[in-house]
Amino acid sequence: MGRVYRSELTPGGFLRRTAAVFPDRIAVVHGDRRSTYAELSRRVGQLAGALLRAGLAPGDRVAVLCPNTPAMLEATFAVPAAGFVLVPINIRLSADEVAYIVEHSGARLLIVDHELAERVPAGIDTILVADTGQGDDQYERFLVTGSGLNGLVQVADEEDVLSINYTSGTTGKPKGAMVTHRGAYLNALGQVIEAGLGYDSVYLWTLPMFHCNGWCYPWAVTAIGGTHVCLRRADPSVAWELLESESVTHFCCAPTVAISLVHDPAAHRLARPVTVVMGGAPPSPTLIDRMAELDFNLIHAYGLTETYGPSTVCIPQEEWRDLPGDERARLLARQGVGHLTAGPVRVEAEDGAMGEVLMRGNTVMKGYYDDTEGTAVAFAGGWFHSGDLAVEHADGSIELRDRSKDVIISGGENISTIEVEQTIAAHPAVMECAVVAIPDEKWGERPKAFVTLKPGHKATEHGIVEFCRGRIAHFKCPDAVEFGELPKTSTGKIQKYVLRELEWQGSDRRVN
Amino acid sequence: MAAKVYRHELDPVGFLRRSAAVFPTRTAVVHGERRLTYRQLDERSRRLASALLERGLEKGDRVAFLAPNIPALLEAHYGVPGAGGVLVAINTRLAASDVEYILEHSGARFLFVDRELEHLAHVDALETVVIADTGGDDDPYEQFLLTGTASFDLVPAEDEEDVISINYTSGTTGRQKGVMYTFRGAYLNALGEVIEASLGYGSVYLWTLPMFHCNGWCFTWAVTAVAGTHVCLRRVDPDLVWDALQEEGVTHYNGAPTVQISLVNHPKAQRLDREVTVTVAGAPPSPTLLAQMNALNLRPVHAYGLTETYGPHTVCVWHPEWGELDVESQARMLARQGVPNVTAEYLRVADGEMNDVPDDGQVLGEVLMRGNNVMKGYFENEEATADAFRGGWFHSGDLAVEHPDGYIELRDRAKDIIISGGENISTIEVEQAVAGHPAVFECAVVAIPDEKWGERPKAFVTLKPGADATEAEIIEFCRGRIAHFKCPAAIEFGDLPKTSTGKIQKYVLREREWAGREKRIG
Repeated sequence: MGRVYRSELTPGGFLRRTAAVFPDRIAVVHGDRRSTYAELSRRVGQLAGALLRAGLAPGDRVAVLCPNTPAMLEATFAVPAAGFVLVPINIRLSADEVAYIVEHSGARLLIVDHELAERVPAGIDTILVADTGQGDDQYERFLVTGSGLNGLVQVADEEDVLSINYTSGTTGKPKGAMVTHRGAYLNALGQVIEAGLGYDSVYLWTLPMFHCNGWCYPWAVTAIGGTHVCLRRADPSVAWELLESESVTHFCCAPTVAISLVHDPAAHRLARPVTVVMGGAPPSPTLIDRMAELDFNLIHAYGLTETYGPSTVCIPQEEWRDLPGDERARLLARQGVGHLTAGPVRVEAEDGAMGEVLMRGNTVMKGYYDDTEGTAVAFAGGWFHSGDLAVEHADGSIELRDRSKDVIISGGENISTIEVEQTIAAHPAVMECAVVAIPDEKWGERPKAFVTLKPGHKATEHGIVEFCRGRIAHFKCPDAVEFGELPKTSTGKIQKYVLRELEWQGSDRRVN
Repeated sequence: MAAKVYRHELDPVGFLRRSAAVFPTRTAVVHGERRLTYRQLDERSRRLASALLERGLEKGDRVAFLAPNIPALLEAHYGVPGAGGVLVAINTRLAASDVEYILEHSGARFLFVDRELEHLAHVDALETVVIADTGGDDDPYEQFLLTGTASFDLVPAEDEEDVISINYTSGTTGRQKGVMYTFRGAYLNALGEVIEASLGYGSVYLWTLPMFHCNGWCFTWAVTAVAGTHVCLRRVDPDLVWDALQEEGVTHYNGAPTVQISLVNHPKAQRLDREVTVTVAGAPPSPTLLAQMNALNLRPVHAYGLTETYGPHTVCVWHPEWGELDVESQARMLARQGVPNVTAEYLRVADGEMNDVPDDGQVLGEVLMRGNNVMKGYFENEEATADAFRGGWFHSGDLAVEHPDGYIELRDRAKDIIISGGENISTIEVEQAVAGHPAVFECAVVAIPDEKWGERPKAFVTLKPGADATEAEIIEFCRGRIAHFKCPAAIEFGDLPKTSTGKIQKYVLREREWAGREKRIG
């Protein structure tokens, strides 16, 4: 068996290689704890062995409910290495939502952090992680049971499922996107190249590992022997401290995290540039400017759980350097082009019109787990349908204009809520905002803005509307502004649908 | 077969499509005064593909190119597979009879030949296109391109395990063998090169390494993947190389130690104001050479591989701690062949029974490889393929030790070991000792027959221009550095015989020394 010229692609191989090349290099930093690649590799082997000894059958699902701790990183490698399927669960979900995912995935075992123990559903075996790294930690005791076992199983087919990642889904039940070994390997290599990771990189774990397997960075960082700096929560002041004390070179995050970072009292110009890969929503020009001032090298990426995290990347062109700041920021806010190892990305529309973003190829999920119908709908016509609306610019880069549901149609004119949001976000007193359609007798729909002000800042509804009228077409300006906190999903995305529901109560439609 | 939404075939030709879309106006190719943007490179490759199809090229047909590092040969790496053809890039330093053999053995249907090399190819049956390399309307190659269309869509790989190219090995003995590369292997090796050589979106790559050599170690595709600039070079003239290093903002180039030696010893050599990454392979560089490169701000990345492994398979990954060692020790660390590169993965050093040798830096074994970075096989040579792949691994024929840190170090080609009084002598070790002498430009050590000891080492030495040394001085120099039994018994001064790719032909030296005997070992 076996062709001499073929080995199955699997990101697990990166750990094997790096442990061989850099056994003494620091692989993981977690507070005062440090472990080398030799130790990480040994612990992953032990965990894999312990899982095999726990009586699971090949292909069984093993769920993890953990923040960005060493245990989470180890499970990301060990579960697939032992021939099981990893199910990382979003730690911000409610007990009911966790229970649904455990049941739907048919997980046999759940590795759970001690802070999240109360969210464990009844009837599943658990390994509790005290996150102390000490002998009395149940997770550590479990590891010991795998000592001396070779838990590493050869990947038989690179198209086998490595993990099932449930999407946070704004509506309906979560769906389990199936990630393959091949896709994870290729996406990880694409990330190494696009983010400029190298043998001296230090990566800060601001992005949750449960989120699309941390956009494949557990593998990408390991591929080049980089250091993983763990973080139980993305606290801005802790992040600032680690940026300097650990000489961090890279991190990934959504704009909400970056916003809190740049507004943190500890914010200061960095000693050396740090590369930030940002996705989840387009960064506002204001945020882009502020990050540049602090010497963050921003790489704007875009993707979904169904595309292993980032699918496109906005690659800055040399010419952009000579443009005025706001113009450059506008270009950087584009989602860009398919990254190096991604397959084709296109907009389903003619001549620069708005259309749905479609993807296919190696970094598209294999399908939704146990959901043939959902898969068929998502893959209609041989392309994955993102549900995001974008335009394609003359240079081939795409720019998101909205989620399908977030377009405002006012008097027959389309209004992009993102455009309105970015305008408002440029107001000096605004920290973040969301714009949704509200019903209007005359125009059908009108935009309304929900705004959170920066601490200590003030602004009036009238002031913000006037600010917008000086910048965008009048018909696009919000009819109303409401101040307060914004509702967010567990991954930090603003839940526009919650705002929309509030505004459309009593109507049987959500568009006019 | 219904297409899988979640799969596209790995295909390095796609790198050009993407770079042309993202960076249409960036300079893709520099060739003397000529400049091509990525859009132009893309269009020219499309024209080449469609013109080939227009002339009746069918899927799997071989298209041979006999050309130095010029734009046409780079375009062939996209236009030929993009038409469904298989690229056969032929070594330009071969004799006419060798070229003829390759054309015949590969069954090439088309031949593109550089005007300067026309005398090497007299095959009437082939459809031949001459490349004048002027880029002007009177260039037959340009006329051929004009018969194609710039809007033609390059054909994507149907199956990533299909053959993208056949590279004939220069082979020190026997007939040349055609090494088959797959789309998958080329794609993955190219990505590995991007990462290991740290190519990035601003890279400028100088073509000192022949593109006909393992498709330029897949840098033909790797540089394009990151939309880097290819700086072409008809021949590796150290004078021109130094000009390019100083004027074109070159960030990367590759080459065998022989190329590096002529560069670092050139009158124009001077420390560069920026670091240039140089991937060195083909033979282990001497500590002396590595030290000289460092002094010029040429950062060496030492890699090792064979035609059968798409060029580099291993890389001597640098450890920052080594920076604290003295220069001599640093160089010794870096002179090792290292570990599999990030996309190569599988490599062993094994004894005759295919058991791993201990990682003690002592016991010699053969270097074996497998996986995506190994050729699909030898074209129309099942016997040789089966022999090379015996036991499920590719047998490199190179002998190495594995150090306790897992890094391998080549000690010899299987044939180049000297056994003297029952002790093994690595010719490479002796060569490195000799090369440490300040007057030595380059050298080769082979076994010579000896009544008493069976074999003894003899060194063949080329001195630096204007430098002087005697046989006795060099032997004394070695005795101060390596075990006495390893020191050469004789030194001969003069030029060294080399293969067309610049490798020193030790077998020629050996033949000369062993003439009249039945065996070549003592």
